[in-house]
Amino acid sequence: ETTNLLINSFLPPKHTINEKVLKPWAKEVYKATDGRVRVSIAPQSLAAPAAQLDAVTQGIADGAYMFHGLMARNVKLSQIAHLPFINSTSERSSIALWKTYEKFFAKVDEYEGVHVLSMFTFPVGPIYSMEEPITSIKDVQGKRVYALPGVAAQMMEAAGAGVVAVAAARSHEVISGGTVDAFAGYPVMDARAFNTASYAKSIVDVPGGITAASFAFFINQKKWDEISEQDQAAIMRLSGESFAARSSVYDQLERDVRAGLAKDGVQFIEADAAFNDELHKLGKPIVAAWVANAQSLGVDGDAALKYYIEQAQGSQPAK
Amino acid sequence: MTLALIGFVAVLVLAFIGVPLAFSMILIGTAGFAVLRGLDPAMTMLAQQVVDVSSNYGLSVLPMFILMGLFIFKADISEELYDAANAWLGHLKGGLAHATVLACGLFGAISGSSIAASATMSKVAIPPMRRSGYHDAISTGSIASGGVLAAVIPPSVPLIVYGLLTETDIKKLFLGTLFPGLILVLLFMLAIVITIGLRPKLGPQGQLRSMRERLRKTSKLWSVVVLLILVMGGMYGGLFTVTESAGIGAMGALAIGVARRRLAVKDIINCMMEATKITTMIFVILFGALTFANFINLSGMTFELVMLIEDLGLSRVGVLIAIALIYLVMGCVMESMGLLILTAPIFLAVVQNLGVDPIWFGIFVVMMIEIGMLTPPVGMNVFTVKAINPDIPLTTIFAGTVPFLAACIVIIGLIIAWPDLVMAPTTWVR
Amino acid sequence: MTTPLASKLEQVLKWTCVLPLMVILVLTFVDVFMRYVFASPITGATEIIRFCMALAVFAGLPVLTRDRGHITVSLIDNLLGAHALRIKQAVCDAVSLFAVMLLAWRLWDQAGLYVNTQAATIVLDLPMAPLVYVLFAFTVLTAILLAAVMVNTLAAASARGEIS
Ligand code: NA
Ligand code: NA
Repeated sequence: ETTNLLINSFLPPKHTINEKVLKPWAKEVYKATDGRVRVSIAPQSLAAPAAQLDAVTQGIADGAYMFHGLMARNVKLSQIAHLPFINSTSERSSIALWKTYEKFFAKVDEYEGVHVLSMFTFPVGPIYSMEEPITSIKDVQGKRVYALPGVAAQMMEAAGAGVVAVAAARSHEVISGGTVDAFAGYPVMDARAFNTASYAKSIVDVPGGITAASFAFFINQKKWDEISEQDQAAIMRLSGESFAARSSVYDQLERDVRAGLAKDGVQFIEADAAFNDELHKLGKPIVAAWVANAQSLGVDGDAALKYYIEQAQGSQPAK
Repeated sequence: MTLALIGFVAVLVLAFIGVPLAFSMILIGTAGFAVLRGLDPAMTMLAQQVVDVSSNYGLSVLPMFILMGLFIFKADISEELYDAANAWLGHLKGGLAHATVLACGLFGAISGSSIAASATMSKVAIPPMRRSGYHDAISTGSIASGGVLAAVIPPSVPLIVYGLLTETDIKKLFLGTLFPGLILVLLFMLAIVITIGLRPKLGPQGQLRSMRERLRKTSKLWSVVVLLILVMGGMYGGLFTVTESAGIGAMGALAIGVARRRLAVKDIINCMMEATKITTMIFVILFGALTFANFINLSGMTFELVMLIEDLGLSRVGVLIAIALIYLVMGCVMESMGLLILTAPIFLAVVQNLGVDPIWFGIFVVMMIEIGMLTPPVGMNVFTVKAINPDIPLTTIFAGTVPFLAACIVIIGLIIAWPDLVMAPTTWVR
Repeated sequence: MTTPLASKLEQVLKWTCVLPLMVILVLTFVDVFMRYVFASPITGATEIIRFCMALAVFAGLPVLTRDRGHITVSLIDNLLGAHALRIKQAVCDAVSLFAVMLLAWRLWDQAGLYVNTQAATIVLDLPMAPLVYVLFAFTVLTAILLAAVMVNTLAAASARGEIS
């Protein structure tokens, strides 16, 4: 008997996640279960980005992925991926998040009503400027900055900018409207997808990123329980770390878009040591708050953070 | 596909009996979704859609542009608009009709509703045309049709609704109307030239005005021009977002109305009340349309339609002509906003596979539903003119719109043949 | 309906319709002003506007529904006599009432879900549940007014002896 799984995807049909991650994964699940589990992806999103978890627990779709930033109230531990300076490539950050989740977070069941299949983290978000590159805190002070809600907005606010924080999908209106002087928080691949990349004259990379967007990929628990143990095992072999590793496609895309922008004359700059120090000072309370949160949930926050950084950045310095 | 078709028929049956279109779509969309995914999921889907759509920041652009139109409507500037247009064009054959079209276009640059444009111009333009011996067909026809310009020239309420519904950039949609809007004004004038050429008695010439008088009458429009520059210039010059432009525009229109002593506190409150009601009316159909679209999506109809088109070997042009015909027929009986919201997301999903751009399609659809405002038996622009001039028979007004309908068909043909007429300006901004 | 209660309700509805739009209008204006003059946009302005949008949409619902102001495409009106027309109207009102009550029930459940998940906006942390309870209240009021309109129509019909 076939189990049909309807996966919702709130990003547009042509987004890399649909073409290069979800569809190939669906095909492999079909093969690995000898056709007993058939995964289809909704042709258009059936729920708002903020409603993915509800949509799955209520059965609108069987599975979905959701931005952790929109789950901050109930899912505190996985917010680790959004902390400043800890990430590297999308692939390595994704694997780090999944492994840290398995090792430290899974015991605190923060995802009620769903079975977590995997997690992934997009490439880190640099600081884009419409004018001169932003290479010190002074360059942001008194400026109007669009920042992704969450860590990026907190960092920019702490730096003294006038922050406009709206959902990433609405950032085009703010940025194209000329209402801000700079923007920060999402990777260049998203800046292109949201049509905001062409407004940037310069892009400053901070080692480890000031933040990165991470997502949980999950399936309705009841639906999951309907699947035989043998097929569950087959699906998990393709999910978890293996699914996280598929994030290499985002790194590839990120490189391609960056190369294109460089050709168009966009200036790419690496933050210098002084700017880095300033930013790290601003980031400290944000990191400390996460660790305290983790402790209160009975998780050794410092150990988890150390493990995550090891997995994401390893011995090699962060890109 | 079968289930989706049953759904469509069910919505139309309920609607044709007289159940509000919004409720028809909500009920059938939810029921269809329940058939596909179960009752509980359908119930949650409905709740989520409603809350998500109603609490959407981007949608605030709609009441603000509506409010701007209402304030300007109450500010009674239509007379000045008409006088200025008349000073420039009145001396031509059928000059008052030309002036009407031009004034409709100018009014349309501040108001997004074709009904508002028809209503306001009816009051101003019909009395002088009657005095000058114009046939009722040409005067009322030019006003009902001129209303179409308000929906094509930005700001445009149907275009905003299309943009919100299909997540298409409203700024670019507005830019896409640049050439179609201008060409349509010229085609309307050509329609007048031809009609009067064939039957000169329908519309006599007015007197030639001096350049001084023209400039004097035009200069009276300064406040409107400033408002236009502020709203459109601010939007495209990168000062404001679209949403902000709408808010600033409403504020500016309010200021103009107050300065002209046409807006007392009571009127302001009435305008806001009216704007809220119109907003609610549109949003409730949006609830229905999105619920219904979720059902249609899941049913796989879009996919099957695409396959069908491929099997039939229909070209882009063939499909577009077929869609235009569907709109022409449905536009006869359906109110425009309902028609737009019911069909646009579904047709767009189909034509996007043929390489049709969502911006182009938005302008195409808005043109098509506006044609429906002129066609019998249900033509809202015609009804509006009739309501203000009860003594003129409906058939006269419908007959008067025929030359302008022809112009609308021509513009549809032009943008199908040269999509760049729409698309070129959209490449001028990022 | 010209009882004191009805006219009081009328006043309240008027203000609940007008106030959200006023806030949106003023907030948009002040936000732009603050951004250009002080480079400090109002934090979370978009979230306040979002809430006002929802309030405006639902505040308009009772008035619009009572006035039978929804978009309709009825094609059969010209084919029916006065008697049949009133019955048709009652049927349509009944279907509408069903839809409005369905909406109300769904909003009530959704608000409950938001209470459980503690859903809130991302910048200002405004809780969603109270907003949705207000939307629910407006929808219930809509249902009551619609039922009243429907009863009036039927009463008028039976007074004329059209319904025995
Ligand atoms: Na307009
Ligand atoms: Na029509």
